[in-house]
Amino acid sequence: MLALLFSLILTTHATQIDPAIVNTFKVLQWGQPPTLVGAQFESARALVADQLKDLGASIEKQKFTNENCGRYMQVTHDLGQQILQSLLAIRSVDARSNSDDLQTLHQVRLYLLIPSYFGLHALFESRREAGFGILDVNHGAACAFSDREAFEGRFTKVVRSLSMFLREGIGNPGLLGFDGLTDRLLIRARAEEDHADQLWWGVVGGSVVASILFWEFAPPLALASARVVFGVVPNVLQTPAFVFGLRTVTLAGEGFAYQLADSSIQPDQSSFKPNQLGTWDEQLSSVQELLDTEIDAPAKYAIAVNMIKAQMALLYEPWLKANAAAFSQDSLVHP
Amino acid sequence: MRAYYILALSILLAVSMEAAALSGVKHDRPKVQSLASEFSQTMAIGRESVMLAGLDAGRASLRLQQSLAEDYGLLVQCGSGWLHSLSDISCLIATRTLARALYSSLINPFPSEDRGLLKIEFEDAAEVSVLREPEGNQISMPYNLQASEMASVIQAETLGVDYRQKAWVRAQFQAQLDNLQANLTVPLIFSSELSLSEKWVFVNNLSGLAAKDPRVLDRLGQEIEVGYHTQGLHEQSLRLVENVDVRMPADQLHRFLLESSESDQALQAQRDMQIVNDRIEQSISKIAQSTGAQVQCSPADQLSSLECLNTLQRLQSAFSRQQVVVLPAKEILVVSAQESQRMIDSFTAPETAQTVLVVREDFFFGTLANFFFEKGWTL
Repeated sequence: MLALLFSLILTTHATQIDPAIVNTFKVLQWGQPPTLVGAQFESARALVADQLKDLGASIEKQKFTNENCGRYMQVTHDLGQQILQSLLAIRSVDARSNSDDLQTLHQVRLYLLIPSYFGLHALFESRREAGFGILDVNHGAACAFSDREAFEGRFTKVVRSLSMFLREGIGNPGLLGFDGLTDRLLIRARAEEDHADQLWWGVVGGSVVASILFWEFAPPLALASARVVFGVVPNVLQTPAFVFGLRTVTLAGEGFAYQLADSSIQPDQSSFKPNQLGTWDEQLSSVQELLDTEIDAPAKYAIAVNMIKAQMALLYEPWLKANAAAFSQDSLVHP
Repeated sequence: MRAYYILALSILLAVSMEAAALSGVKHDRPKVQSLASEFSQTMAIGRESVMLAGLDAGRASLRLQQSLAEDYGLLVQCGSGWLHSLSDISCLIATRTLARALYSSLINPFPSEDRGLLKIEFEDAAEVSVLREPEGNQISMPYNLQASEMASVIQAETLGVDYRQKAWVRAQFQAQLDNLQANLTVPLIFSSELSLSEKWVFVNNLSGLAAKDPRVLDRLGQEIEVGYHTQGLHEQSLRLVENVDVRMPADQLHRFLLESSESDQALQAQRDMQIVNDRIEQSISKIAQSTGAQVQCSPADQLSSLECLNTLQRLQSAFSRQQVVVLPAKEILVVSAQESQRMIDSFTAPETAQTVLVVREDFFFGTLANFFFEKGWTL
């Protein structure tokens, strides 16, 4: 009887959500918060920065005649330098302000740059840094280093430190965190558009006024100048063909100036995909494109962050599916 | 007598334990409910992210709008007029907010049998306006509303609308498409930009052609993509895709389908595909050797052979570099973006959920590496 009663009690509680699931879900939701803060953050960052500088110096010493090797080393070097730049620009989580958009952009940039760096390191480690065949994974080309092992040791050390720093110093935002990041990037991109629109209308208004003033004052001034220089106004300047030609050229110039202003004012909203390891050339080009993207390109970053978010969602998919029942309505109604 | 005392004491003890436990559950319930709500939000975000991965703002808005049309019967668009036009970014912000409100069940105003047409137009304007039509309402609203504000506007304006006519069109289209697809040797893929009526007209045309001349149903390619442009059967990364313009008249469509099926390029591509298939076998065997896991590209998927091979080789490369020391799965399933979307949508827990690692064909190497790192399975 007692056993029956106790088993009833135990059965009743077995349907509650497992605390382990709750904890895992919290990690999934919010990601891994950074554990390195304050002085620890600063010292870890200084260590990574030193390693990056050391590797950068080592790359600069390498000389290759092979074009692919030269390109690979240049991209690796530039990527390392840009990582360093963003690394030095971010602040520890305890010293970070929520409203600092530049911090967000640098942080997002690190999420994109560091995995690309992993990709380049992976190429090197598998001795395919100078090219690989898409139809034959065993076909690869390595560059001739004077001391490959020493260089590889340095490179691997940097990659490991960056891995650690990405997780411990910056943290993993998780799905909801990445979603919030996308929101902020899109809102910033929208603000940039507003600014560009205002600037555009300013340019249009200014050029209309300039055009009116030009057509009002330039022809009489030109005629007066011609009279001063030549004594009389040359007949050619008064022919309808000349006047028509001058107007055409001036109007075309105005149109061209509008086009130029439009293309330079509008923020860049083209998209790029993070490194996806296609062909060797695609991989290098993808990293180069990332390097060429200005830090202030929130629309581009929003798309790239969405890529990472999607991959995270897929990687966690089996877990989500397996635990769906634990979050179902039944569990809530009959706990 | 002593036995009765012991029994009474046991019952008392059991009842008090149960009461204590129940009070604990009561105390925890809001926490559990909030967790379930966050879980549902995470699923919504996951689905949305997978759907929009890699798309720029303009295309992402269109994709989301398409999805809202399919799932909720909502026709969503962004203002295109001179005064109220919206940029791609603003359009995406608005559509995401609406999608999140719908997918996380903040609003679901449509009975499933009556899902039809409600048009929502986002504008760069300050006020909500409603245009009432016999076949449905059009609501214009500012793009920068909060999800809850959108929800209350939609709920207030959607009562008593007759959606039946649109639902009938959808059912007719689906029936014709199913019938056509059953006879066609390759899948028909519609571009997300197409409207329901455009798709319906096309399917009507093709069904008519197939009835007159069954040769149009025997395709060499792997799929037919219907969109706003035309391209003959061609080798696109060894994937035999036929791009057909949805607006093509029936006679032109007939000629086009017959001519392109005889293309020499297709035959060459088929020969190349044999090489790719051999490489796929090699990769599968090498991954099995280094990880012990069985790997395959999803058989029920649209993934082309080259996409399958590319992903397998990237995985093989990652494993052979020992970036993943112990694989937490007995099986690896490579899927396309569409298939992964379908899997997330269907959301049923398979028996082998814990042992299958699902990898999308365009997996982002760094994220995969980080995932394993987080779990202690790498480096």
